[in-house]
Amino acid sequence: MSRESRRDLLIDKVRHGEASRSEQAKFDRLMANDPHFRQHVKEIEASVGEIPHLSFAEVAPNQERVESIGRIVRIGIQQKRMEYWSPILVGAITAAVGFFALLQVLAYQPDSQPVNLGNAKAELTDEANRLPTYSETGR
Amino acid sequence: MIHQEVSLNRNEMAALERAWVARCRQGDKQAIEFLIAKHRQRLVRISANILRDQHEAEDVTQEAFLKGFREIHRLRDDRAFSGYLYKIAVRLCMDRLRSRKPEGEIPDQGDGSNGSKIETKILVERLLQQLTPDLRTTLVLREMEQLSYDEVADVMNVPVGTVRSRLHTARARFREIWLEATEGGL
Repeated sequence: MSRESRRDLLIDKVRHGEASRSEQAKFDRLMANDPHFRQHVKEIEASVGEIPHLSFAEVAPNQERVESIGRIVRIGIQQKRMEYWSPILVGAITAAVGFFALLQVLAYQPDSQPVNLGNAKAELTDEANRLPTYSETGR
Repeated sequence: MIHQEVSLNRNEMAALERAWVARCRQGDKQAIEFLIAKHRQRLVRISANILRDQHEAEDVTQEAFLKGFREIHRLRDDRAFSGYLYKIAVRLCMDRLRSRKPEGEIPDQGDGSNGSKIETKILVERLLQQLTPDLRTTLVLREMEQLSYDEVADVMNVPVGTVRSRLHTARARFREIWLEATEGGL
């Protein structure tokens, strides 16, 4: 650290009330004996020393504003959850559809032979065939 | 609810805040509003001090809350919620400063030492805007917010040595442009 930096740090500590007893003594000694140091401190006080006066005051409590931010935050949290869960849901659905499609493909057998029924006889069992016809009624 | 806290000591308040933050993690509306009400004023003030614009500071504060609550899972220790929000707000302010166009030359203010207080304030405002976002934020945190070197380092996520060096540069630069603007009129 350069001599200038060390002096700057010393001035800063004294200005903010953070100097130790020995640092304060060193500062006082320099102020008493070194005109350049005195001038430097004067310039810092005049320039940087004005900055704290520009600090904004705290805004007044505003319940309406708090509620408005609260609403926005809750919407934001919900969107975040959607962003998290949407890809998972889409992924799960896609995986399920793919799984069922795979099962269908595996179950499909285009070369399979028809079942041999031997001497089995086909017979109409429809009761409609037993209904009386026009000639049977004698007209 | 805030008024009840007055009688509580620091540890009790930290424990209370931790409980509210834990409730926030579950999406509790009341807890969210409690924490917004508790921290809003401070966040608006620090943002306004860095940005030098109260309206923009309100926007940044809202953005900070949104980001803070959305990413609350990143917060490891619920007791650190206040600092966590503070850091988010400062970083958002710095992002805004970086995206701003650089200010033009400072008009000559004449002999600032003889001018009124208001003229001095206007001059200081303009000089602050001449500093880079990093230098300006460091200076504001130290001079206006009265943070220690360690606290500034924590908020800005840089080593303490960097804070020391930035403050030295910022003060030197500020003093230099001050002297230029006031024609050395001390």
